[in-house]
Amino acid sequence: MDTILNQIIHGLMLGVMYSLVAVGFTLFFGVLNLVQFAHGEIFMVGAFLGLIILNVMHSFLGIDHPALLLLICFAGSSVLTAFLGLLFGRVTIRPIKDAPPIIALLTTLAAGISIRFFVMAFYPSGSQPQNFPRYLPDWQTEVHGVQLRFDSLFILVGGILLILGTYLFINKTRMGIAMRAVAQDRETASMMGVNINRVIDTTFVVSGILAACAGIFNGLYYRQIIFDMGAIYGVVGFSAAVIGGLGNIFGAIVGGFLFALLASFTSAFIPGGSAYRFVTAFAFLILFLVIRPKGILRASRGKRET
Amino acid sequence: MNDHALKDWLLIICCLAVSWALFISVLLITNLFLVFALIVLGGVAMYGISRREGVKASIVQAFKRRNRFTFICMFIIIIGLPFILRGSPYWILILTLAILWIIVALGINIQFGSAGIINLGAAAFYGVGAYTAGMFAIKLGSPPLFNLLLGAVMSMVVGSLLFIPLLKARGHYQALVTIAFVMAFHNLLNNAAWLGGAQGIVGIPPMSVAGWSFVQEIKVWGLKLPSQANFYYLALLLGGLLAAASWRLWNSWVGLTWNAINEGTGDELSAKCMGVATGKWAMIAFTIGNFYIGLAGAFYSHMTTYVSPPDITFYQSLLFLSAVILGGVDSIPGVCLAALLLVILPEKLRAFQQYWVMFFGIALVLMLILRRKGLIPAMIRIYTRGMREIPESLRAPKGSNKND
Repeated sequence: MDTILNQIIHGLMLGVMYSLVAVGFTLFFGVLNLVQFAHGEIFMVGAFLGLIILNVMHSFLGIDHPALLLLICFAGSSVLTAFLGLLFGRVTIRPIKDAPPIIALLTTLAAGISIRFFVMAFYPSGSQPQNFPRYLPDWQTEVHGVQLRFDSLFILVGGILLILGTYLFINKTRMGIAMRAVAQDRETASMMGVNINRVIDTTFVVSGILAACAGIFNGLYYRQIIFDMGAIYGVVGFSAAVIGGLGNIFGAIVGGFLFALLASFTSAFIPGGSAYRFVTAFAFLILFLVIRPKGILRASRGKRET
Repeated sequence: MNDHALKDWLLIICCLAVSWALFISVLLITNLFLVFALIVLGGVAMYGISRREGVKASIVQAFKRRNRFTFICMFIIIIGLPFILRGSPYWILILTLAILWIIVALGINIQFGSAGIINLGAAAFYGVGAYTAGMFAIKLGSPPLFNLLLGAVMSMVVGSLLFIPLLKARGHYQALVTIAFVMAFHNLLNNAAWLGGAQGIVGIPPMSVAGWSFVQEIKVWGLKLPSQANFYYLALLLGGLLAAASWRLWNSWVGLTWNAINEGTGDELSAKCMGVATGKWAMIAFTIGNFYIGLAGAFYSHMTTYVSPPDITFYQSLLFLSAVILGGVDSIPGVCLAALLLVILPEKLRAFQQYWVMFFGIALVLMLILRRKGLIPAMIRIYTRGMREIPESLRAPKGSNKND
């Protein structure tokens, strides 16, 4: 029983990170109708920018207060990553906006690989895992045999707040409504006076912020980041978005949690399963695509089939 | 007429000799500046020729008219390569690897180029071929040639596991099926103890055919060829056969059927209406492609005598697929050229190893944005003998977009 609860906590925490990445994928798919495969790398860049900011703040400016440091880290990394994402979108995504979907997928995949190896080549000793400083308190407690670590709770709460924020942004603000309009029908939306390029830029900013936060969460939890961690998160995020139905934000969140819980249950209940957790997760994914090729929750109404 | 033929032959020999000399010197010269200068020189010369319409036309005409002669010359050049390179076995090995890559790229070209099934899991099928050959060679001691065939067939069989998901899913989802497959397969290989785990399979016996071990040197007319030449010639034979098969398929109604079900070049719905069994032909293309890929994998394991999980990743699959994109989708010569470049360039640029992947990615992005047809764009089939040009009246009107 305790192991189940512990695994659920771990799975939820992982699910938050997967969901944050998956929401990015789903936003891109909704607005641009393409799979932005470099999103995993944007997540990685977010984590590295967070690390750089932390190190600079700590050693050059001498700030020691953990909460302040983390606040600056999250804010700074989000802004920088959003800006880089914007730049990335303008350089690589705009020229292929109307290309066939497979071309778009390959372009972003190739661009992502460039980013990944750029970090490897230019970050000092970038091919090694980098230690992420620990600024979260080591506080932990046991409730009925269930271990609660401060960092898990922090990630859980922070991630849920971020997802909530995104939800409000998409549903309540003018820009969010414009984004949904573009997702439903780009041409009609542009006839109604929606500035398509602004919407695309906003998509990159929003998903960049989410990815950066997920990257820092990942660093805070595992205490290590490495240049190729974006690869697995990219595929997992994409898978989660697909499970939920591409283009559907709520579906992406559900997909992220489902994928994470599946992976952590495999490592808990199948003997020697932790090594095989991705085998089961991806086998499940393939099986899932056979049974429901369009995801659990269908893509939003009026969406063109692809 | 005779005079004409002589002029053509001379032109062809000149062109081939110059490009061959350039190729060999690029391989053998270690000074990177010199190599770079040579490549730039070659590029400038090519550009100069392409600007002079008269010269360009006569060269193109010569190659078109004398394609059998060109073919024989190319054949002699390729056969002769190990004799020239006998001082550096390393490059013979790399060229053999390049031939394996060409085989893989031809397989992916059938899947992705012709039939439009995106296969981002090619490395997994390569791995299936390599592991099958390696396991059979070690556990049962079966003969290498048999293992090659077995690896290829096994890759087809494993590929059939994905039939239903691939037929059910479309577009992005189809891509995801193959990605998920290679990810799961890599994870499996890394952990399965009976497959060697993270170390992979070590000590696979090297190739031997009918008692002739491939670690022996070849002696021809008093010239000693290093043992690597054995692998080169066998790979060349297999690659030649497979390339010829690929060409015949492309140039037949089968290739046409594949193009018809490909969303990029044809229209699946129209093909269905015309009575093409779209699902069946898509899976035939997928299976034939896997045969190619698996064969190359099995050869690889018998050549390097070991195979390990780091060779079988999603990234490797992307590299394989990019050979098709860089070379030209559905263009057999283009795919071969790109696969050759993708093996030789990283070897040549060893000094810049850590920047290579970055530049490769950027080159791929630029290619996809600026020149989507690839290095050598796919040719238009000659449906009627003697019809070299498509009459204006039959061409698709400009601005017609197939993706609407």
